[in-house]
Amino acid sequence: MIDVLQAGIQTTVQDGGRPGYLSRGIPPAGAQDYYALALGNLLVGNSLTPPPLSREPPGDAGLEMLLRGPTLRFERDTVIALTGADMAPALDGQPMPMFEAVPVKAGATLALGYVKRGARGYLAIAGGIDVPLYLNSRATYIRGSQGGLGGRALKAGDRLSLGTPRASSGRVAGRKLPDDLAPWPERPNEIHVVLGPQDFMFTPEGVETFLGVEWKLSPVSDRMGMRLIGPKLALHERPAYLVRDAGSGPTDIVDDVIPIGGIQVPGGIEPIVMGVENPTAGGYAKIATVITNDLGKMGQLVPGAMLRFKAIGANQAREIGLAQWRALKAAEATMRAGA
Amino acid sequence: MIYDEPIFRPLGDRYLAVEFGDEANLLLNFRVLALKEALEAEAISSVIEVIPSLRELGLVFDAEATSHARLEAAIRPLLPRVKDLTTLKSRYVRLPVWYDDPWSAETARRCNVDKNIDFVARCNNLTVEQVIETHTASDYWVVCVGFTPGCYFSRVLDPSKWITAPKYKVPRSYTPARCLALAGFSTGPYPVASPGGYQLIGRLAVNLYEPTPRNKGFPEDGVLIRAGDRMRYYSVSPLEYDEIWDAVQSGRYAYDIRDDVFDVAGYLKQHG
Repeated sequence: MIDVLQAGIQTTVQDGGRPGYLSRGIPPAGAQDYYALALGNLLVGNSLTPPPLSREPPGDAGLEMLLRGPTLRFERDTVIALTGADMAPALDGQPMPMFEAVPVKAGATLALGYVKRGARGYLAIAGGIDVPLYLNSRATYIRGSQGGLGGRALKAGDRLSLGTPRASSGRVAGRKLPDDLAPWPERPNEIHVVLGPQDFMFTPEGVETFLGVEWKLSPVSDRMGMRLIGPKLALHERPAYLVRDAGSGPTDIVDDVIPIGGIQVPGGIEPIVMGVENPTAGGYAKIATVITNDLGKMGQLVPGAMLRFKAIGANQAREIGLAQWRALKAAEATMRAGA
Repeated sequence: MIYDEPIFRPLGDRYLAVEFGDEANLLLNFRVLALKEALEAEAISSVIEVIPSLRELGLVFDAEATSHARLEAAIRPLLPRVKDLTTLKSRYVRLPVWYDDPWSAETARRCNVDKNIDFVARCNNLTVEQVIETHTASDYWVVCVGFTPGCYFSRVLDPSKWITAPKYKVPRSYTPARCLALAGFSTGPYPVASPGGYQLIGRLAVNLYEPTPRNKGFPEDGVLIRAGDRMRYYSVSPLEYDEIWDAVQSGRYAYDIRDDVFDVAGYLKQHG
């Protein structure tokens, strides 16, 4: 068991999420930065967190901690790892290393503070957090009040059960990341996108502006959508039948599928990047889609941070996504064989 | 516009969309659902999820097993079947509604707008009684489930029963669960309390979303309605509403849903 002494700003139980229910209006949820949670699970010998909407099982559940982390007390000996945002962790008052499997004793207290770098910290614990499965996943879907612990963020006084560790703590304690798995992205403010599906509704200048300027992350951002502040994007006139069928706004379209990572631009201003709790359908033009890997990068930006978009091809995006997942799987195989 | 051939568009690295057109035309939705049926019949193993919208079918695919281009190539041979479609599987669902209900009225009052059903009546040159008569006199086709869990968009099948109204100019921050609303081409429910901009015309006496399914007919995901279902709304009195809602809450309500096939060709001949 883990006792939640202080909850932090928004601490939730997350795993790789629940694919398969988008056609029912249910988004995948899961870790906004799957790679960071996967690194933690790798270090403590848990099953890996897969990218959202993949066919892999969702992996062991850990905590996603937004902007200011919780204070937790461990009731039994275990091994933990912290990844993602740096929340100045202290274990029984002593600074605790990140990106490393650290043994903790029964009764120990882990205190996390306000982020010094990044926006979402992840805590992985050997054996994973054991909350009931909802549609095959332990991920918290906050806006839908489902999954996780009671479908909500943690509160002081909550208690979390732990699963049975897969590897002995002696084997994993002290483990560090292999060299080829970077703890941090090299260019955290460069977000790769695939243009479309409605980039053609913007003028060439509009698309150029979108890709050329620095955008600022608005404080009105959460796991559903992250709003951006920047210039207005120039649009083509729409045909009369779209005004009739879709509405009078310049980016109104007849509703279609919104992918996770989709960038809606209501009215041509304040683009919204859809997160892992996305609405599954909607009626505003989407200029581009953030690639799966960089949804995690987006999730590590704090309000006020600046970012730029860079367009790549769809197949290149697919290959980048696969390469990251394969590197994680290879590291897992090496660690299993080695230690 | 209805495209001669669908357009394939990547939505990032793990979705492919097959778009049949860009207007709010039921023919496009029939094609979307025909492709969904064809894909399900073929059981293409690299497809993880099939997501219908009004005019486009979204596919989530296994990036290890296929690519956008290879998936497009696998789908193209199915397109003739989609063009020649004659029937679609379509369940027939009857739903009880308390039209002109007090919760909708209270919600409007809190937003400082007219009772929405009065506004809808004015927009269509009808009385409130005529709005209810018209709204219960046609089947509605569910074009897509989405936005929030269990929410759907449905379009009137009998064009002579068309009712419409614009959305709220400023969306509400709160809509009571189970309110039924319309705007633009669509009638849709708010299965759970949520923000919204559609005009509220009544309240359903039954759940459409039960995250922990209680009543018979709900699948494990708790979402009752699917794209391609036909809805028929019927008016119930306050006393009938209470009785039905009691049965729903205690998990013993028998939903009026039957499996059926919709004659698309016949419908298009008459209305297309």
